[in-house]
Amino acid sequence: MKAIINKENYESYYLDFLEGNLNENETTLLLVFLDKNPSLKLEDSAFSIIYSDDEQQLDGFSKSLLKYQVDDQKIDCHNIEYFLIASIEKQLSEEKTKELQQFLGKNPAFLYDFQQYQKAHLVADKAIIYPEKQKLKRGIIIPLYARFLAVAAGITLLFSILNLNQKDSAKGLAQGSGTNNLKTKVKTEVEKEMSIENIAPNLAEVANNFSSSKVEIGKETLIESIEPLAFKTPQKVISQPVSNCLALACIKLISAEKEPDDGNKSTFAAVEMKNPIQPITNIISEAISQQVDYKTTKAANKKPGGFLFRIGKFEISRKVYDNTSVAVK
Amino acid sequence: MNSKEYNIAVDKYSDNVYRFALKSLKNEMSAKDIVQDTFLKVWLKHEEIQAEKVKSYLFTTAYHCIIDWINKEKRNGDFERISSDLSSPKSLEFDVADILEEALNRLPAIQKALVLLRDYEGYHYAEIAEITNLNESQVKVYIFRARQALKVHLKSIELVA
Repeated sequence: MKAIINKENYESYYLDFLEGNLNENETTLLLVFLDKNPSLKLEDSAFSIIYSDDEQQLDGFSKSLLKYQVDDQKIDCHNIEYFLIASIEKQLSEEKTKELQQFLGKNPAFLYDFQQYQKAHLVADKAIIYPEKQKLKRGIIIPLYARFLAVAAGITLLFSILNLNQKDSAKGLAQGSGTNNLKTKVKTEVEKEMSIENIAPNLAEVANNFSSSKVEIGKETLIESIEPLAFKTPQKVISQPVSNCLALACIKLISAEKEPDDGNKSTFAAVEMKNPIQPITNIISEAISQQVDYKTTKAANKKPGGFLFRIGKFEISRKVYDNTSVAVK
Repeated sequence: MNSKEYNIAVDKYSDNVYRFALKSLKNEMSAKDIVQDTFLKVWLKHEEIQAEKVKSYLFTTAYHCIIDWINKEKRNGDFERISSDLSSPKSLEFDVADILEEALNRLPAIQKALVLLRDYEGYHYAEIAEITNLNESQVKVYIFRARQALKVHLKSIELVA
């Protein structure tokens, strides 16, 4: 006799189902009925077992989990949950996967459960990111001496900028100083030499002079090498003055090798230089076990000052020339 | 693992560890603390850890930090309060992600952690077992039970909606 499950008799079937007394056909019929009447299913206390932590009562699924080699069992209504999850978890063999498909084909009431399991998969929210990642990072440790060095370099840069500003303000005056000013003199000479008409015709001669080793580089270099080339047909002078660097280079060479033309050697007295950051340089010296020195000359009479910065054998300095002082080596 | 490899691990995995901790604890501040503790512990042993195993080491450390945190909060009674706050349905709007999130928060801490490791990080049972100090069968049972609970919750909300 074929069983018919309806609202009047479903409870007895339900109880038998929970106790595991229904055969496969009756279980299928009950589950189909419950799927058609979900409100009846929710009222059943069996489903609250899952919500609560009361594990005194084990369902078929829990029993399946406890069994060994459950994967080898035939799929039925009592262990179907296990196989549905195993399928979602990709734990089934090909053979069992086929068997499950056949079972679901015969018992479509479980297809809905299968779809629900497919949905019950968490996806990470990539928008959630750890906001303090940089604080976790390690290994970029700046040594103490490097920090001192950075401070010293920063201070040096600051002083250099200040000195440059002073120099710019005094530049016009320095260029317009008297005939005794060696800088002006040299610049004038170089400007003459740099006139377009002079340069072009003499290029070949320059090449010859250098190739025949007539000029001794490093001794009386620039002025000596330029003088023989000068004043052929000086007609037009370049309006732009040569750079300060070139002028200063010339000054250095002249001051090193030649007496000043005007006999003002006595005026090239070294100006007293002071270290305005003596405590800092001392600390850095001790930290890196190298001599560290920083000295400056004050700007005076609207002339810019110079500076010297030395770490061990490394030295940076800016020498400033005027008629009263020549700076530092 | 040198400091460069450690910093690469920070870039690669700190978000993952943070998500894992945040979803497990539902507490932003504590999740950040867990991440910091985790990476600090890994840094302290970075010379012993191979670069290719750092992810596993990170999640192992994070998992144990999370469990310790939960146990500590349980003793204080705070975790139950947070969990009970989360267990009340916010709305009946049908959004699978929200429902799953809600269902996830109903799970016991271990099940929740295992599902997160499985779904977020794609770890196999054996890897999860290594991270959590459980055996593979235990991992499987926990995950199966968690899946069933997620499904039942999802289905119940759908039916009510």
